[in-house]
Amino acid sequence: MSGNRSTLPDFIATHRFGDKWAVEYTDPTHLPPDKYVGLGVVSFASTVPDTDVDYPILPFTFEPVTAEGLGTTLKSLDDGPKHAGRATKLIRDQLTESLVRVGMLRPVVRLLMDHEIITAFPEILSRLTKHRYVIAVVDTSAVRSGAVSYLHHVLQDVVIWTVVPVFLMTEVQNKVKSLNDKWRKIEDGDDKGKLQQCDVLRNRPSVSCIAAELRQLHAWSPVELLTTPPELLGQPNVDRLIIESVKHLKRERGLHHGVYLVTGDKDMASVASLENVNTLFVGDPTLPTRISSLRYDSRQGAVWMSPIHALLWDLAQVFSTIRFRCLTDGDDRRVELQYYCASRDGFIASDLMEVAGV
Amino acid sequence: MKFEILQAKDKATVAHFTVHELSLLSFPDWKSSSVVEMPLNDFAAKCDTINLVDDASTPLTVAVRVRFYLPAPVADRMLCLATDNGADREKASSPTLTWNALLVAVVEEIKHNHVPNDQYIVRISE
Repeated sequence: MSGNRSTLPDFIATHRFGDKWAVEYTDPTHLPPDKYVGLGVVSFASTVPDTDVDYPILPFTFEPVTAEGLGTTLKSLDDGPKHAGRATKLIRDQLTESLVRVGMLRPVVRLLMDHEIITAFPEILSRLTKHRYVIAVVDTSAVRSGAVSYLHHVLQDVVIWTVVPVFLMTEVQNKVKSLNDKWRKIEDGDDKGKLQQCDVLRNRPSVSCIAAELRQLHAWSPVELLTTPPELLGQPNVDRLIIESVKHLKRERGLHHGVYLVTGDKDMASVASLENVNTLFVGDPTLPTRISSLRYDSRQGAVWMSPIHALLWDLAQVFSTIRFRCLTDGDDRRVELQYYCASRDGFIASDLMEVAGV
Repeated sequence: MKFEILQAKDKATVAHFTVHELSLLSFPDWKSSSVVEMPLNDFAAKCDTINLVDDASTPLTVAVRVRFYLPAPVADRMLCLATDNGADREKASSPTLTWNALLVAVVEEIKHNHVPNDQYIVRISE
């Protein structure tokens, strides 16, 4: 199936979905050729007769594949019996992360400040809005999880200044090389997909999703790249480097309020708070059995809706090739999104996919 | 529909908000009541199984203005392209939702904001 190059807005505007669809993936790094693994089922609320024109995006619910179902599929592979357990957990973890990034699942948020850990979300929002601005110094886990985008959506009345330490980009660079090497070996036929290599599902988003999040943040909000202070050059521990960078930033610019380290790492959050660095921990929730694309925000009195297109786009960034297959009897429509494609031309900064449909 | 969240121990109100698109009248189990009060966990369980009005004269859905969970430029570009393809921009941002789906979204918000859930009561009224 050869596809057309597409951006996310193009994909949304040109593809309309209703009824019931299966989401499946294939990835030659750890699956045999043409082996597709189910990730879940999407059911649209097809309540409107003229959906084709006026409603390009319909609400839907997503039922992720169960651990049992996934385990059964993966165990049937050559090295499945040995690695199915690990792969199952990894796949469901990545599904959870994707659902958080596209706004269908709320992340677990904890605010560690003034020697207390605040768990009540309304209280966290109240603290974050106190100064009408938030300076968010992010680490890789925060960018990868879409934490800053989430803050932008829930804190629309607050100015959010995102500070990205430059060494975060070094981490991305290191991962790009190993991922590209692996992909090249697969393409050249020097490596065959083995489930044992499913770790690529954890590593790929550290490049693809971080690049996507940074690209989007740059497009619509203030983002600053923070160079490493000279006295910290050579510090091998990245966690220490980021904590010291926050302290340095506050000291250098005379900032006493509104500066937060944003991380998805509990240990780093704990250590930073012990050193009086206010920290926002943003973690992944448990994966429910059924998730709606609608989210109500009582503070803003708003209904948020996540398009199915954004979910498929994000999943393709993680799983490399996503197939969306209609489950209605007699309807064999399929749409396939490919992350690795000629359109992208190898640039991780490119927000293009190859989208093919029949 | 007005939602009040009370502390179970002393019934003090900790939060309240109104969702204008929802009404007690839309739900058979509640349409004869002016106020319904129940523990948050029971409320969540009830919303999972609640039946909508099944009456041909009563619409089961409501058009609700939504915000798309997308980066602002992507959402804007997407709406422009949809308009070029013949969609009405206003309608594209106001899909028709079932009351049930909207109610479930509201319940999820209450559950998320009031933890542990068993220490709270929900009171709904018109």
